[in-house]
Amino acid sequence: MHADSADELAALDDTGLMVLFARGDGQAARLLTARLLPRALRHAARVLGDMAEAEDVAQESMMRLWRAAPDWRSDGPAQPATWLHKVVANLAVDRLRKARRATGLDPETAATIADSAPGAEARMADADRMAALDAALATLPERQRQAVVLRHIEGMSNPEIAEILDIGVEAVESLTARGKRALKQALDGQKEALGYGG
Amino acid sequence: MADDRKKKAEETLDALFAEARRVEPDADLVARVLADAEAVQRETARPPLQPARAGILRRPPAWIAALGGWGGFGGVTAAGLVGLAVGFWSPDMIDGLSGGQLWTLSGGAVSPDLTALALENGDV
Repeated sequence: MHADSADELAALDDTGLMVLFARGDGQAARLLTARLLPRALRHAARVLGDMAEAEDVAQESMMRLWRAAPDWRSDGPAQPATWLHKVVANLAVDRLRKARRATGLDPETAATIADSAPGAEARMADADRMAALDAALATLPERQRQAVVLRHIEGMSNPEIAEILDIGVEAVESLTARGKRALKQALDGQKEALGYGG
Repeated sequence: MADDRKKKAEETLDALFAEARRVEPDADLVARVLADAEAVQRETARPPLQPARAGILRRPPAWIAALGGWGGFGGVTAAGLVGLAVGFWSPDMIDGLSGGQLWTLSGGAVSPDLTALALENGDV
């Protein structure tokens, strides 16, 4: 595969860029980073609710992608973006579980305590909107949270999400529907505080 | 009223999702990821293929290759030269080895008359 100009390179899909990356092409690394790093970061940020942790997870996921490049099959079924989201999902869950062990609380209990703490509503009003979304997302079980983020923020299809989370398509539909309902409930009444009042 | 509330919640959530989609990595994270990429490429990139050394020494002609390459060709040449040298400087030894046949056939000349061999064959 020869791609002499930047335009030719930009026209390649992610798999083609992986092949070029494995051959030492620096421009392929830059294009893959531009295409995939924002997705990995958004996914991790909304699942973890912590930007510093999300940056670590995104960087580690990209590192695993680079290391996988030499063995990447250009005719294989795996898409780099789907593969990367799967790594992000697993790393994020690992971090959430470690954090849970450290605090001794499951996420639902922790979220309930946070929401019922005195002044929680006022803090929410002062917090930025992403923190409000993260707080609402934190009330969802892990899989539901991942499914909602991948569907509604990353815009992935149900079959793609099913592949990332290793579950059936019907399960994804159920998770996203229930997740969105729960989010709306968590954010109900926050419209003014969130700055979307009108 | 309930419908209105539901609609507002839906709008709020959609606005938050839209905002979440605008999150981008900062320059520092991009630089770290690119540095990782470069390090991995240095470690794992396959070495470029060595250009084949052109020339007859690298790729001998087919007839030399049939003799086993330059090594085989050298062996055959050396054996031929040794045989020629022995025949030139010690013809008696060669004639002795052939039981005097070559000397007889050549009639005392340096090289044997091969027609004599053919005639001898016809005489039998």
